[in-house]
Amino acid sequence: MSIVFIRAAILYAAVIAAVRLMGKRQIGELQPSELAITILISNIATLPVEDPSIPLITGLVPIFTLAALDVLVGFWSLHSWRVRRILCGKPVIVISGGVIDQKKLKELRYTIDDLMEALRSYGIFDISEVQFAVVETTGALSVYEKTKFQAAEKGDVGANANPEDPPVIIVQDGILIPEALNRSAISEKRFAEILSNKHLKTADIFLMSVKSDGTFKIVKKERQL
Amino acid sequence: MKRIILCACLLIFICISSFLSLNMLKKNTTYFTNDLEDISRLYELERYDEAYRKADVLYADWNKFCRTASVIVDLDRLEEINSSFAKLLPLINIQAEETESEIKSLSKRIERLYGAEIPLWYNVF
Repeated sequence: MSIVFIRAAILYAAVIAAVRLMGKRQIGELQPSELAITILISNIATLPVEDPSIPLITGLVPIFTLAALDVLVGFWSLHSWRVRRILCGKPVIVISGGVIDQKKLKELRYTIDDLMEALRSYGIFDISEVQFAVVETTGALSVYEKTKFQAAEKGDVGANANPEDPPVIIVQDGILIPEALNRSAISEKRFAEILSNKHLKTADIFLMSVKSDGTFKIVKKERQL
Repeated sequence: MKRIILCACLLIFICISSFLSLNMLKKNTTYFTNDLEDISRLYELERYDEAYRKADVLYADWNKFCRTASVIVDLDRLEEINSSFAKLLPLINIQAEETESEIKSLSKRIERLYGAEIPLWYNVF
């Protein structure tokens, strides 16, 4: 039993390492080839765990080979649109000028139910509001609404539309993040001043975020009973 | 770019390791099959004591090799050879009729260890 336990731990580390090696794209939306690799890797990892007579290397070598090949092919596809087409396919326009392309939907085996479900996830319940819709290579639907149905933006109503960076989290669970502090609108000295004024230590802070105008929000840690 | 280089190095490392492990397997299986031939010859010449001693030494060497081989070869295949070796010594001792065939069968199994690992088309498929 201890052998199975150790093997499972090693394979777990190997799968995590392989997924990290393949990069963030594996954690986000997957291309068809990436989905295939992810499923393959997870299946391969179970074999040496289930059967202790199989050498561990029989699991480790294919996992890392697949991960490395995926990265190298991905790099190749960056520089070659032909390879990209072969591996990922191309996006398909299913609604153009407000008209549904039924032939394309049929080719994609995308039913009207699938289309309506995808539109509803965008808050669109009426298909006549859609000007343009594309089924991406990942299978997700991207939608462009007709102008009169698009939500008004700040610029449209003349509100202040100066470019603004999102707030930066500089303290997380009692730990100061130096890179985040450097990116934020406050200096180390100002940070120390804020703590001093509020009679707080960094370790007392659960979350601290700073906006681009220098205003901040502090969430203190709850007292442990 | 670091990731690309790391992946390329990983693939090269895997290729080199598989080549080296294949080499190691070949070297050892050749050693065992050659010694089994010698044991067979000694047995045919009715030099049973010498055959037994050689077989005993070979069995000890096999046990040592087995530990390394289990990293790259299925345990089931090694177990078959283990039990064959275990049978061989008593057979030589009692000068049984099946000794020669057992030696041949053992030799074939050991050859197969290396043969099954070569990346030829029939092994791959």
